[in-house]
Amino acid sequence: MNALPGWQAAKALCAWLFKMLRRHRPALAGFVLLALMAGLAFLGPVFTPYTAADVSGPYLDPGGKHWLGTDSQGYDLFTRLIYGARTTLLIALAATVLSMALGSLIGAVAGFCGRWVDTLLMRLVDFAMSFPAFLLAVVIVAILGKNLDNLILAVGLVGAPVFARQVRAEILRVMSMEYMAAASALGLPASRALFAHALPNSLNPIIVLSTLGMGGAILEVAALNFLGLGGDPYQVPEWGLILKQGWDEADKGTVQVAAAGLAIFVTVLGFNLFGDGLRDELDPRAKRR
Amino acid sequence: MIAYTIKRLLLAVPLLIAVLLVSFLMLWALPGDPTHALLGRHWTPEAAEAVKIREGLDKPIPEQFTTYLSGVAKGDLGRSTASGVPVIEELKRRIPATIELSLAAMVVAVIAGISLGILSALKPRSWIDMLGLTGALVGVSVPIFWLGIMAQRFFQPGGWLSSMIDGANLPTGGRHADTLQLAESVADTTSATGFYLYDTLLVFRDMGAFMDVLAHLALPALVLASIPTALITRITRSAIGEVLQQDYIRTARAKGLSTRTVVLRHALRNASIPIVTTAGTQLGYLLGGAVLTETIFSWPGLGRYVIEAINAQDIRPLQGSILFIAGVFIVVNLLVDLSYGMLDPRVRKPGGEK
Repeated sequence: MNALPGWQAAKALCAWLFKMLRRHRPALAGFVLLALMAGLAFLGPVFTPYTAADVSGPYLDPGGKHWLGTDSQGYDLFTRLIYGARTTLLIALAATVLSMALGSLIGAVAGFCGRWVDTLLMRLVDFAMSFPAFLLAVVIVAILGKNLDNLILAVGLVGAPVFARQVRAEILRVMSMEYMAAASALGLPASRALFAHALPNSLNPIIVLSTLGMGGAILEVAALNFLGLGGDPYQVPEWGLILKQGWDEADKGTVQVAAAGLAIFVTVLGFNLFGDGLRDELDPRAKRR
Repeated sequence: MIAYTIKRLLLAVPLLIAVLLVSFLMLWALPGDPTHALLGRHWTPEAAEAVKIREGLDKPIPEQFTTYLSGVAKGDLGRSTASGVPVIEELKRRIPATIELSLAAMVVAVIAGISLGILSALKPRSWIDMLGLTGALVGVSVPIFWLGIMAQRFFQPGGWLSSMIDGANLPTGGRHADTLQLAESVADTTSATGFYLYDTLLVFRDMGAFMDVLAHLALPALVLASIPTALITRITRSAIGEVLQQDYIRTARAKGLSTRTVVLRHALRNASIPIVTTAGTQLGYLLGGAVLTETIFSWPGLGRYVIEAINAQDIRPLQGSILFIAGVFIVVNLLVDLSYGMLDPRVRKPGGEK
């Protein structure tokens, strides 16, 4: 087993994570919250006798049979929230991966090429940032059409400029290192120098931003869905949508609103706590205080 | 300073042009051709022809853009397809509502954030520091629409608060009590501005109405203030904390100055750049972030206008609101940058580090 390089790397990663979590209490709290949510998301169906499609009477009170009661359509609320955890996390992950990939690519190319490429790309980034991000996402969905794919695309696009700026700064720092001079002295092609050397050495801020970005993406996705921009209401039980449905029921939906909002809050809190810890560890220059 | 100001002003020009271009192109970006976007459900081949001629859609696009620009310059943003009302009229009614809400939230955030930040920085690891740190973390993690709905449930008549303290409640929707009819009074009075706090207090001189408007403003402003308060607390704490380590602060203390003077005269001024930046950029975000707060509190402002326009597939109001919000965002960011020059002499020097 030990011979596998992947196994070695995973072991080293776990050891590093363990050390970091022991030193950084808030990050530990965040990690526990996230582990809890991930556990619910993937093992959740074990805890509930219902599936997301099982219907009982509408508006049943919380109690032994339905922990959080049922909603206006008679679905078990606890079950919907558990299945919602999976959807919410996957949607946010998709959006964050898009932001990361696009933003890092733009930032890396700008920093690496310099000159007019840099100016052009960074002007584009400035321009994207001259709109309030959330409003920009609203407009993108409005133009492309209200459905979940466009929602993910919008949140992903809007998150990209932050990555672009950070990665560009990091690439500029890495480019002044001696191993980059060595790479060019050895005659490596530019693409290899960028993707095999400069970018891997700029990973730290990307990891930190992605973690914090997950929290932001969950909030944005939930908010867009809350505004009714995500399309089909009963197909995908995302938390923001469950919250909106509770809100539409006025006083009858209070438990639904409270529970769905709490789920969003706890998860975002987890990402923020864990992300702050990662930042202190991986990106000490950005450390606050 | 003048060179810096001019340079910064010139940088804002291409941004403004780009924003204009985007809001113009929104008409073309929608699925189908612009006549569909403009007519919506009322689309017929004949109506499409008529609209093409009326809006000049048969002309080359650059010419259409210059026509659009001169329209914007004259304040003509087209008419709403749904209601037929000129967009500019609707904006005039709604902009004061959104600005009043955003400014109120900003005042709360600046006062609460800076005080909490200073107190936290003065006593690191004390209970107030822990409170500030926790509050800041909660503020950036909580979904604002959830906070709003929960606040409504708590403060509404017959809500949880009124069951604890007999009958205590706050209004949870709109800008004033229905009986006041402020919108009509404002429309009839030339000196009225649409900023209801100002109008009721100074134009109508009606204390009862003022208190009513203030009560209606309370919940949405507090909810909207949550994120900027959190960010301002964080940045003030770290900026003041950093300045307090400096030698000149030790000198000031050694001279026997009181903590109060040291903090207010020396530390706060030197920590002001990051604080002003955060507050300024947040003001821009508030104008956009008001979308959610306005939806929950039935606030008749720009944010709700955007959502109503999207739901009604009404393109002109959407273009107009986006243009206004992005324009304000750019101008606020410009003012923030220019204020650096006043706060930090180093920025003014040519070749100085920006």
